Amino acid sequence: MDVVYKRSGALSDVSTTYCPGCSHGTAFKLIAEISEELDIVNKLVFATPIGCTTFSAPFHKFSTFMSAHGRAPANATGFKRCNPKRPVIVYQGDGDCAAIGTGESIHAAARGEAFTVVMANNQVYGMTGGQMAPTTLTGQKTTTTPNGRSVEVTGYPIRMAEQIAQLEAPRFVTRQSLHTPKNILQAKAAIKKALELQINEGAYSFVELLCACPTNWGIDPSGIKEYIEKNVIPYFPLGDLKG
Amino acid sequence: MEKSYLFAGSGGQGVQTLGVLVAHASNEEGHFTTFLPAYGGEMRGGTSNCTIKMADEEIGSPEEKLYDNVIVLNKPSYDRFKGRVKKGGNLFINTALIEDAQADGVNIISINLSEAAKEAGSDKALNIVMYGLVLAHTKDISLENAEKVLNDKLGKKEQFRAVNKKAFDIGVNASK
Amino acid sequence: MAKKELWKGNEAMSETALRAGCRFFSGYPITPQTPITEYLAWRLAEVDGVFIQAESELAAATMLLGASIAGTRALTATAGPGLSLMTESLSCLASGRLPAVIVDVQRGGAATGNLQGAQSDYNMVTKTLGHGGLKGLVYGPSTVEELCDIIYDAWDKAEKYRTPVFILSDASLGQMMEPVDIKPFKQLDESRFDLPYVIGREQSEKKVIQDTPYAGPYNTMSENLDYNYRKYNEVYEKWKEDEVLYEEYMMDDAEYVIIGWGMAARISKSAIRNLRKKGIKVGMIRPISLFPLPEKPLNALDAKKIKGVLVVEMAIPALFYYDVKAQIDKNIPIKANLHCGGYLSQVDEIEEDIMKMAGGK
Ligand SMILES: Cc1ncc(C[n+]2csc(CCOP(=O)(O)OP(=O)(O)O)c2C)c(N)n1
Repeated sequence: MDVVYKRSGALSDVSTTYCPGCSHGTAFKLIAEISEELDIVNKLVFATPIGCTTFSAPFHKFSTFMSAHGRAPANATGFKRCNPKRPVIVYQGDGDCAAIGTGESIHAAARGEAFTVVMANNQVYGMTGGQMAPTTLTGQKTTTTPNGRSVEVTGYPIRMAEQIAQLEAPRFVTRQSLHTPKNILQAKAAIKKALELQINEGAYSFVELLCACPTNWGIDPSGIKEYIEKNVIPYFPLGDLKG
Repeated sequence: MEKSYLFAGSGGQGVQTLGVLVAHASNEEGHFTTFLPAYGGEMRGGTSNCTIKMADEEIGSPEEKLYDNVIVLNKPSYDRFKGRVKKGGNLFINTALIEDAQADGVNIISINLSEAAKEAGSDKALNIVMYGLVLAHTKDISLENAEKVLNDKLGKKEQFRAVNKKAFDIGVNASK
Repeated sequence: MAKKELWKGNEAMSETALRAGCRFFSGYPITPQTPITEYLAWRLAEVDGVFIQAESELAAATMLLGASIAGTRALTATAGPGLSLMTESLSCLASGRLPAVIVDVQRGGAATGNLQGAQSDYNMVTKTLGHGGLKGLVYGPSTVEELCDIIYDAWDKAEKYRTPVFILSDASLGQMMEPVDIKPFKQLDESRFDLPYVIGREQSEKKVIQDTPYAGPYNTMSENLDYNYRKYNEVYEKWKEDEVLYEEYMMDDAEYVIIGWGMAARISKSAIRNLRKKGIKVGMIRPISLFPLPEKPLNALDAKKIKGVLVVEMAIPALFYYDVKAQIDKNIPIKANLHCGGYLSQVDEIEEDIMKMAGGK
């Protein structure tokens, strides 16, 4: 019998503790599969900052280092410059990457550090329980925008991939989504391309993933597909922005 | 033995270079040496300055209230530091920019650095003239070591070496 | 022995760091630290090291963590407001027990302050590194040569104990020239890439480097943190036995004792010599390690013999003074001579203070 699908060997036997419908587990699965395909399970280093990914190390087999909230690109800069042969994925939330860590994100990209940033854009602060993120949509209710995000008070959501794509050094900048099987496959191809560019050419790439956080969005996981198509993609259009 | 020097002038006059040269010469002589430049906000008021101490034991404070030797190259420096010479100490002044210098109980050693530098062949050599004058006068450092340091630090180019040597000699002779 | 060369403190220290095996520097320019950043910009390139001008002190200090996890001897330096921004990473280094060296070329005042020498960052780094109450080794050298001696061995200690090592220099020490022997290059062996906190060169078994030690023998994070920080504390306690450094100066017959560190202490030496000429028996205890503080020589001051202690410090309000006071016999009168904001300690004022103690002569 042919094996058409199996659990990636780069994932550990521990199952994730994420909420129903959360996309972080899907993203890890893709990274795990890619690491096997590229034969880098023992080489890949996973740089996690603070957010729902803080406690992700038990779920996969990659060497991992943690950083303070927002600082993973700086931490990874120090690591990768001293250890250029290890492929590095910096996996950040949107709050981490585009609020508290904006400076580190932009400057690591501007320098073209030889790592791949994956930003999980779930439009909320997941770990702390659903406060406004820099990506929270206009009108979206969060615990700190109880009447919906108002542009008069909080301005507009930040499109981080577009910001990064303006810079010279990044080789490949794209926004993908994890809400349908087709999108998941496209997202996988994008992460793989970014990693290959890193390994073969020492290039910086940025992959923004539209992720779901039904718990903090206050919707049923079965409604994710519709929610993302109707609310999220119109503001955060999918596709390659550079490279 | 412990001797203290304060050098002051305007930025373009090469005061810091002058101080650094004296510090190196002191080190060459085998003295314990400190050189402390004034920097940042201290450089207000048209003066740049630095202090040097040389001693035969480990040096404590790199600064003093009063100095054995105060060397001032322009008027603002003179105004600011003329009162910082110890009784019986030396005040070296540049008469090209400081007229009618007066100070009680200290030796005033005068030289017109503009004329001397012109004679040496370069307006910029005024700090080297003062270097020769100060070290020849205080005798804290042998002239041999003073000249060696001048060559080591500033003698990379032949044309400068000749001018510097001449400026140094003018300074040394002026002390006689 | 060859004649010593005259070097500026910042540059002598940078060159010595390189010779001690430092191959990574990230920094953000700030007076009076900038000469370190500028020196290492060209010098590290000559030895195939990594130099990064970071986008902020936040990033500069964070980069140290990554370099340390890569097994590289890493350095950053800052001053004043830059130290405030670095405290986040200091906390992470201490908690992750990652070796690295941080130099604070202290400047005057809080906020922007000014550019002159000061000692006002003493509490900020000796009490705890950033939030969370953890410690690192902290040194306060008083000459250019001592600054070099300390940084030459700093990474050996940092790696031995898995700790950040902190050096409190200051604007005057950094800019001052003094004669030094620049030390030879240390040879580091490859075994460093197998150290427990290092993610190796080509590939490795899975390693998880956490800046918070969640792992441990217990089931809950709180129990493990409690357990791990207890172990850290045992290391700190051991430093009090093994890593104390101080100088005693003219203490044999001293009746008055000046206690100071760094620049304030060396300035006090001039006052001591002047006072001795006047027949006043003054000596000095000069802590070189600030954490651990040399408690024993302070505890040993005998109220029957010592008539007064003067703490000389470049900080207002006093910081170091209270640490000294806590260690001194309550029967010994103690006073402070303080300046701050870039105003260096003054020899004549120190003399006056001791004269007053000695009976107002
Ligand atoms: C300096 C600092 N401020 C605040 C926090 C608290 N905090 C932890 S995670 C987080 C938000 C994370 O949101 P995001 O980056 O979007 O990731 P997610 O949890 O949604 O995956 C915050 C505010 C912190 N850890 N550190």
